[in-house]
Amino acid sequence: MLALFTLCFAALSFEALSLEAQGAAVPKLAEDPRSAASTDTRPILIQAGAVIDAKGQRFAPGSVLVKDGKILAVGSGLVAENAELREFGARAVVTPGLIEANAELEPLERAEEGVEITPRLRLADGLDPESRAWAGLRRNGVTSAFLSPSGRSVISGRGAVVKTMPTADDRWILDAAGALKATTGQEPSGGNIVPRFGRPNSIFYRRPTTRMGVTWEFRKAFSDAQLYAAARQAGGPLDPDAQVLADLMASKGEIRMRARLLQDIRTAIRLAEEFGLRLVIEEGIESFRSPEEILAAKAKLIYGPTLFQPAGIVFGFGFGGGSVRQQETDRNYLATPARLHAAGVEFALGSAEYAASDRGLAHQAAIAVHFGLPREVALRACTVVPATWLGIDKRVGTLEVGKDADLVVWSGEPFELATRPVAVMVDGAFADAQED
Amino acid sequence: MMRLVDSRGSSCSRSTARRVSLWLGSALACSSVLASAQEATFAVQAKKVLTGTGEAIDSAVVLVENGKIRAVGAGLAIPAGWTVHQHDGVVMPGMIDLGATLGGSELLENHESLTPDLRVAEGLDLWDPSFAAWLGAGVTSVYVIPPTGSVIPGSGAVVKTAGAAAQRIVAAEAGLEIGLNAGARRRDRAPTSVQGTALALRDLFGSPEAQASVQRAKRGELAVFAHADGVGEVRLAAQLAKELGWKARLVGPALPDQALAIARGAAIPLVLRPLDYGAEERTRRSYGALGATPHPLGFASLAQGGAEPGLRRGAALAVRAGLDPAIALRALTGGAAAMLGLEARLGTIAPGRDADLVWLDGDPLDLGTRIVAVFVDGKRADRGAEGH
Repeated sequence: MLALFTLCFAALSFEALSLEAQGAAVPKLAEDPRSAASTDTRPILIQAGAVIDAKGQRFAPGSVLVKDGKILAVGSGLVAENAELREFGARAVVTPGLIEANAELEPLERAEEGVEITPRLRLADGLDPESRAWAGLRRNGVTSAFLSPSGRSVISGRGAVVKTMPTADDRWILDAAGALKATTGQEPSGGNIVPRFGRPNSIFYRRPTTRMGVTWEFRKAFSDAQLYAAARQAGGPLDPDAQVLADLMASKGEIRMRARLLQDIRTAIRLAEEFGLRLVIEEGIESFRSPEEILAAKAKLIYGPTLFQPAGIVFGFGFGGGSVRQQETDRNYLATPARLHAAGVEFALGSAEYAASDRGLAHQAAIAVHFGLPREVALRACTVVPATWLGIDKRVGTLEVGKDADLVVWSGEPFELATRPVAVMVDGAFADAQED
Repeated sequence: MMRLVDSRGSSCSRSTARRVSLWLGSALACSSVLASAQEATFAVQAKKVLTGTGEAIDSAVVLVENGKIRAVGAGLAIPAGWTVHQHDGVVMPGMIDLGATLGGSELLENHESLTPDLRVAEGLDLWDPSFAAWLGAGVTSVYVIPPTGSVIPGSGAVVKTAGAAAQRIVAAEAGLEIGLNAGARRRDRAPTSVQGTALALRDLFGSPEAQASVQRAKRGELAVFAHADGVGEVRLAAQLAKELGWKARLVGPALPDQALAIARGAAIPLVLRPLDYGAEERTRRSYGALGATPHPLGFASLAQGGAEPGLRRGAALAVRAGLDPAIALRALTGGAAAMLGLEARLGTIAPGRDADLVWLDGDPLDLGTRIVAVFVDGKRADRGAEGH
């Protein structure tokens, strides 16, 4: 059966190659040095000990044939005469490129801190193609990522979905107007000050100063937008910020809410319900305490990061014992992903501000597997699930003929603590190992 | 050939007479040459004239009349009765610094980040000593800008570094300054982020009640000098220029070749920071990769006062990295004037232009070359400064 399968793919690949030989036109983009790889019409044949396509197939030994940034064939023992051969050895395993569902990158400036409600802000306006973060993401095997605006504002604006290999044009930006991000909990209020003496000489003299105040800001913004929508219908003036929120409610759109502790998760569920929005929960540190509530709310959960942080010890300094992150996450447990899975919750994994570091997605998935999450569930949580949720599953998430040639070659079985990505391909081009 | 100008004996011009009494006090010998250089009409015979358009004329004559250039060329007839000055070296147009904060420390309104109706021309001290330093380095016109500490700190003015007070401000509102770079943002005043900056600008330019300078910038009557450092900011600048109708100039990109790739498509001129000795290899290569690009270029010191602009040195280092010398020279002179919309007055040695001239003893992009004399509006204006 497998042999038949392989033959079938091999035949497909030959057909495609002969088409090329007949002189199929390839667009030239000579202006852009980074697109040089995609203008190279020579196919690349990747061979490894195994290929996992994230659709349930495992080919061992496995090969992937790639051409012009797309996958031509996936199978066992593929042959392509004029292809550039890349052999990674019998221990290497190839998977689809990982998709980081929640990256909060430091070089993307923190939220616009002048106001709490900035629904029109687009993180895509602040992208820096020269940032080191892209290489950091690739080191984690990540080829696509949702870049989430910071949690410093209550409603901080739209995120962006990008490939992790910036191009000189905008091809690498898959969605410049991604989901709207909001934050519950302590972080948006952290840093706001109550004027006690002197003159208020900073934008941080303002509400909210508690998580209840944060919720109030969110609820007020959407309630005002409801009133606005009615007034606008009756010919009232345009308020572009309220319009965004009104449009979101009218389309029953998606709101991404960062919620860590259970009370914040509940707040997020309640708010989404109140305003008829589809909910995506970011981080969900305490989601394991009440998975049934998440299932009942039909919320999408992007769990993580999981941190090695022994319970009861709070790192950092400052009043109240440690940073917001540390106060809100000392209740995370290494087995949370396994417990969520056992409770029947489908989730994606995300690493938030660790996304570009050595505690990024590859590490998050390894911890999850090490503490009981089935390996194939972990792979889905880093590929198919986020691809579907981000609406990019037609292009990425699995190794299938016709999809983008985004893949990771691992030094061994993926998501083992001792395994690391040895090569990462984005749109048919291997990232420069020197640079990474 | 007689060497007519002694690099120390230059202190007798009328415009510097006041300073002479204050600074020097001592009786430096006033050569008759320099006294006569204050005449309404004179001719300069030089070994080489660089006109600022990229053209070089050997053994050329420049005729100056009432502070303007009457004619330039090889073998020009000199009208009878005109004094003739010989210069055994190079004459080039006065250089133009496309962005420096000279003339006072109070040029940034800190309270808000978007203050488009503030004019630097209205806070300017024309006798700030930095102007003399720039003049000594061969810079005769400066686009004076507010310090880059706000998203829109205001509008800049084109100012001569010497000359009669009444004529020193060439253009009082020459461009609107917009900062997309990190230096324009502060954590305690909105906007604090680049995304917030983009939104604030879109809102401001979209508002029918926006200030007069914003309206002029929207109609393309006032050039927008958009400061952008990283490639992301450069891309945002190009995007906003397209959306908001800016007649944009892109100022200070860290990697000029990458900025060029974006600016070329959008037809936005580039204003470069002078390359410095400490620059990283990557930066140097990026300047060098500009090569002989026909794209409009200029240089801005982006200095806040100080001892020297470093323009000529920065351009020379860029040439050493690979920038075409003729392109670099044009960027320092005629190219810069065109970017300010003042090419009919500044930046070139051509009939009708202001007689802003720099005499050098060699190639301007040779670091050993000295500046021998500087003329502004046909009058010798330097105080015998050694070349910077």
